[in-house]
Amino acid sequence: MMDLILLIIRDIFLVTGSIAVLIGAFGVLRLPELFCRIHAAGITDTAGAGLVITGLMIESGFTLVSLKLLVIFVFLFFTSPTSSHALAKSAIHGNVLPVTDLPKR
Amino acid sequence: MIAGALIAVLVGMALLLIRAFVGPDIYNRILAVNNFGTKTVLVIALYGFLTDRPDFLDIAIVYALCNFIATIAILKYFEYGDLGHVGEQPEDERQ
Amino acid sequence: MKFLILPFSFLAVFWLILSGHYTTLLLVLGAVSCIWVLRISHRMKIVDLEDYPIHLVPWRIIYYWFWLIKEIMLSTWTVSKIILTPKSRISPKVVWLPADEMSDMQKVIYANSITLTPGTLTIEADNSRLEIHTLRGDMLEPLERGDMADRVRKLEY
Repeated sequence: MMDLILLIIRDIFLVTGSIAVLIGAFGVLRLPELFCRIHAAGITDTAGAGLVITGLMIESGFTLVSLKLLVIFVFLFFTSPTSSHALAKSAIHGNVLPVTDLPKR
Repeated sequence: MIAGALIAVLVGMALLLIRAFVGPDIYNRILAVNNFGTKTVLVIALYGFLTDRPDFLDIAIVYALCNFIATIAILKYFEYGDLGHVGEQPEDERQ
Repeated sequence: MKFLILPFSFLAVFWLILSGHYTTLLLVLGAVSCIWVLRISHRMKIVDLEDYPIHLVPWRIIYYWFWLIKEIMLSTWTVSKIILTPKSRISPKVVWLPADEMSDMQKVIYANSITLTPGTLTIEADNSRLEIHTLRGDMLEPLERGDMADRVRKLEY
């Protein structure tokens, strides 16, 4: 019984995580301009990766494998804002400025 | 369900590849490739669990490290044209 | 010497998690490699007391992380709706937000938390302000209320 509940919780995490990953990728493809796309990429980096890794942690239980997953999780959470910020800054230095008055489609 | 998540992440990677090919400029491509790397970490982890070999996680950790360093290095190269550049420093620290 | 203990324990814990084999020989080799890495980074002069979050209150930062995860989930929901609605109106905005009365570490935590929540992105920072790019004007409301800034200010002793 307990196993079944854990299995269902794991599946909920994995499914929501994959949906978040798909939405993030779709947003990178769909949104009109670089700075908007960075927001969509952020969904994959935080919510998508976080939910999928939490699902895998439930699968492996209290073992060394879970600790390694936690290391990946923390590492992604620390590096993803750093690279987004570096990208935004160097885009502005390269004269790709954020568009604030998009035409209505 | 792990296989389903693996397929979803792979589809997401395909969508990102389209963005990396279409561009339109270098920054969009770097964004797509950086995100592609994050998804690769997830694919490696999921595939390790699918085949019951969680040792794959070590590779995932190394891939996450390489992906971050590579993004920063490419951005630095395109901003300064030189990987050995010291970057911007406050006036009083400059030698 | 005192400020080498923290990075050493960090490296040792990382090695223990990655290794998984705990025999005497491997533990000695691990300790030697940790010391070697520290020696190299000490000679490169990249070990610095300021780099370690030792003056943060531990239980508050853990509580803050859980609160941040909740915020990330809420704004992920909003941004997902924007992406999935066809012809949704996107009106990006760039504003300056105040970040005064914060130490450098707190400013880094604040800026990174803003970037981590989808929908808001820190572009530039100066002494007391942060430049924020947002996907839609109303996503700024929680930040302008100063909820996150107050929590970050309370993180240090």
